[in-house]
Amino acid sequence: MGKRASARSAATVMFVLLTLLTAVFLFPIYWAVTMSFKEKADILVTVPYYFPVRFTLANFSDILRKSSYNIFAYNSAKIAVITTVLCVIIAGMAGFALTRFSFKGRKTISNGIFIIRMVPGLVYTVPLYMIYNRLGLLNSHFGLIMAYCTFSLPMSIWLFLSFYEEVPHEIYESAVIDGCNEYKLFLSIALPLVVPSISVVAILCFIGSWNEFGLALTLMFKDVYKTLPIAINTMIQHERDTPFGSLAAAGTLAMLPAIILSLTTQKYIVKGFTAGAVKG
Amino acid sequence: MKKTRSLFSLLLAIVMLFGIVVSANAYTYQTCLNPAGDANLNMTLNNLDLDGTLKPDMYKGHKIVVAASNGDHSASLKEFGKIFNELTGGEVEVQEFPDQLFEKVQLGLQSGGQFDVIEMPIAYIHSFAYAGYLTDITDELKTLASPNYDVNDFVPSMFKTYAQYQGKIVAFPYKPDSQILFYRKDLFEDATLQAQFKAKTGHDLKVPETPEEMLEAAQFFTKSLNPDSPVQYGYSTMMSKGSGRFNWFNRLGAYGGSEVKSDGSLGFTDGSGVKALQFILDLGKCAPSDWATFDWDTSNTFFAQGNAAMMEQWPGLYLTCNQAGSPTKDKVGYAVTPGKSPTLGGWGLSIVAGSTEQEMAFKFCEMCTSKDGECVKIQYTFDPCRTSNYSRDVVKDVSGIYQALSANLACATQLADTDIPYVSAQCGDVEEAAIQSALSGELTPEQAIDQMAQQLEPIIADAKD
Amino acid sequence: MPMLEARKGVKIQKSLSDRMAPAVFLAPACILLALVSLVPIFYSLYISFLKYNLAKPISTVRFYGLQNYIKMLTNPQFQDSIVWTLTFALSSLVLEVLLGMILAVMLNSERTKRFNAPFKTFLIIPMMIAPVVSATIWKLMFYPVYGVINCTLQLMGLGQINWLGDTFWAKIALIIVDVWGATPFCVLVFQAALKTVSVEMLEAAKVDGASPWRTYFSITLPTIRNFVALVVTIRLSDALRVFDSVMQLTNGAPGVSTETLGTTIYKTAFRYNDVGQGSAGAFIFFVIVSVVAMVAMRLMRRQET
Repeated sequence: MGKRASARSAATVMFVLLTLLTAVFLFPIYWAVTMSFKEKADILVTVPYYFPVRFTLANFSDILRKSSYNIFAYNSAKIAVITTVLCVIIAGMAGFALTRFSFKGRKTISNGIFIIRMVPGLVYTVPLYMIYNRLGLLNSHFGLIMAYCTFSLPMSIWLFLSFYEEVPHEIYESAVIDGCNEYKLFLSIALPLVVPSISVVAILCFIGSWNEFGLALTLMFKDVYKTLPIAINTMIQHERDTPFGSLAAAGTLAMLPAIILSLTTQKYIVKGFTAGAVKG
Repeated sequence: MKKTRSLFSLLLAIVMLFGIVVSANAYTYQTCLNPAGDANLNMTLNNLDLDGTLKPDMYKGHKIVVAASNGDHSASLKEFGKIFNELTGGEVEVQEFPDQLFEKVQLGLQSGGQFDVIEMPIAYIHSFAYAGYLTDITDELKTLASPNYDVNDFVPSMFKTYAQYQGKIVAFPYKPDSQILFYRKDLFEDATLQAQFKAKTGHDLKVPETPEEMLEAAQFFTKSLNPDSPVQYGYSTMMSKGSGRFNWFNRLGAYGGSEVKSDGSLGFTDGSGVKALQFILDLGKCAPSDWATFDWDTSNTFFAQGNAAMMEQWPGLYLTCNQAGSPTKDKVGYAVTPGKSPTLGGWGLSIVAGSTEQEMAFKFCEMCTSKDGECVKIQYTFDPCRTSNYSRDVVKDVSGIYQALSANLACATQLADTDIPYVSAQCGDVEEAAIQSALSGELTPEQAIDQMAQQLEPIIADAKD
Repeated sequence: MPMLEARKGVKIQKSLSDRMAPAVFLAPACILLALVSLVPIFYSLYISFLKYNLAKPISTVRFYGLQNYIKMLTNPQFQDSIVWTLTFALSSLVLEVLLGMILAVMLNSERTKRFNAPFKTFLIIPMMIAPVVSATIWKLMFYPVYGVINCTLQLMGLGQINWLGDTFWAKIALIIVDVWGATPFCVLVFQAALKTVSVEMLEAAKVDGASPWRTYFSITLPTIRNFVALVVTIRLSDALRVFDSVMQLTNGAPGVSTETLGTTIYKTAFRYNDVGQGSAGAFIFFVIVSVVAMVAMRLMRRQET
């Protein structure tokens, strides 16, 4: 078989595989999205409607009109954006410091950050509640942002570290010789080289904050401060039929910003790499 | 003479003016008792101001925080908050916590200053009362309550179980809940089936009142045992983890047992526990094999779709069966659970002992649970707790289930959550684990009951610590 | 290795601000972590030595020594949950990494360049959904009688599976959900990692006639070894802490066989109100997770010179 032909068949095989796997991965989402358009009676049936037989917008109007969906979405968005920006900046700086400089305790700090991430969330619930209560930070977005940012730091610093470590020290040194100070080094040389990790960290940070449930549940009490996951969770009521259609609609709407984000930053990652510095 | 006459007419004018002003401010509330908006279920409520004890602006500038569960719980309380605000100027903030996540309320109570009123399931209220977190309202009921409040109007057994605890009154009954027997009226009243049943068993087909009768009827209606049966299964229920014990409780009373006695000792180790559990296994042959994974949504849909002849469930099933398009619409009857010891759910409102707004909180709770107040929450599917309301015009027509509900409430004493302070959830989990093991065949009923008793005793002992 | 001495031996004078740089760059992270992370951790540690019940009055709180730890460790259910959690994490991890790597390689390959863009976007999506929503959707899909998975199996003639009620299948269901949710993350990181492999080396290998497998194992894999270690460690520690999906899908059922460390500790602390014991359990949990993760990291990471 000629090289061209084998290349083409390999491509076909991969295409088929990718399509199959993507279909499997996307099915639950497809299911959720179609459910949001289904009539209530069409949801729990013994022969499933893979494609909705009857379309209805009732579920969407239900959550958009009756609940304060826009308030929750705004809260979630505000918190997520601020957390992401803060996290990227702080983690970017920390990752830089940990790879650029060698100083006493560097190993301890990076191992420490590594270990902190292992701590189960439960450890924080009661203490944070009590501390925030004392400080009057309950029901405040500021408190939640601080917490989210902190909990995203270990993973973000890790990711930055991996990419920073790929940057050869020679680049820094030649810049230093050219008279660069550390801050300029960070901004004009190091950061541009790790742009891909910025995108990855930003996506993960945003998603993590957008979807976070446990801590927001503990620290937020008043309706006006609540975030989207809590709002969605409160649709499930004890001893009442779960409004699966509305739940799916709420979930679908909640998915949208995250999907848009990933759509737009995907290209950014690729661009970042191809514009990157020469590898030794 | 002229002077006194003019004085008198002035006085009369003032009185008349006063009368007009007062009557002009009489508060009326229009409500529809049916969430679907059925016109002939409209009602006008006149006594929400509690015989005038709620005066305009009396609580202006004051605020209370109510902690409530989500969905209809918080929705109904928010409505009450609105009404209370119109009547008295006081602000009521309702903070809702999601289904079954009680830790927020625990944290809030312990750290203090968070809530003034809490809405919780009864066992938890008892637990908090035991810990001293709740106000004893016995005195306030005598001094603060309006003359027509009538505490004795509450369904007596319900009031005893919900509100009274260790000689104190610690809660206002808010949402009554009892297991009810749902059965297919159309099948039980069908002449052909009745004849078949009589031929098979020798006696009449009637709505079962004892466990044995229920088993017999269930066997008749199960296709695998009786090929002539019009439905697949004679019985169904939600036996999933977290709900299985309700079914067991439903039978315990019939066999003379109870979960825990008032002194904290176990009440099912005299053989009644094993009998009740064995009964479930026997009944299981008439039920879908999946029933151990049936939760609220699946089990209700299954019954509403017409797959089973009988089901024991909380009242909410009524709504599922009767919604538009349901195959069993108007075909379902309601009765007292066989054995006459239905499991009692229920939620109550309690005032937090550490609250600084005791009087306002009391008046708010009083309003929510007053005769007229109860009718406000019916549109949120929260049924009345007062005997008078069950026979009240319009209210009694709201739902065909009310008769059965009040009958069940009258004989119910077994609480859904273990009534030992602090450890309700833990005991419930132990019972669930044992019942699940028996259902799956991992343990025999005797072994399961033994395991239950074995694990429960140290937990209960620890609670007294 | 002193980084600031140029190779020609010319010493460069560092300004004060430059010398302070490490501290400046690290400060925000360290402050946040210390205040919002370390302080609660130590407070929790303190609680773990107390007999502390949330439902009881605060006067009943008292010092309890190591009792909480002993009680937790000797609790048979806790021990079972450890075994299950470890099994679960390892199974999920293997599946996720393999699947993630296969997908990343395919997406990165020259052959798929023309059409792989939409796939890249779609495959990320499962990661985007709030766990609350995805857990509910999966529960709905696994439902008895009405779940789409069982109905599909029925239609294909395979008969229904008792996903949520059978000890074995419930575990499989949970693993499926975790793999579904976490593979996108692996794909994301592996994709970025694969890009760091030097194109020249790959070309050279091709010229030398090396088969794709050989190229992959001898060149690609060692280059991205640290990324793989990163992914393995993160996924391992996350899988060990699984919570949302278990609570929603099985709630530990059937019986208590699918209770994980996370759910057991949560229930102890918040359902049974024993925060003292719950905190002790959480620290035991933390030790287990750290040890496993450190071991994984040590084994897999390229040693630093």
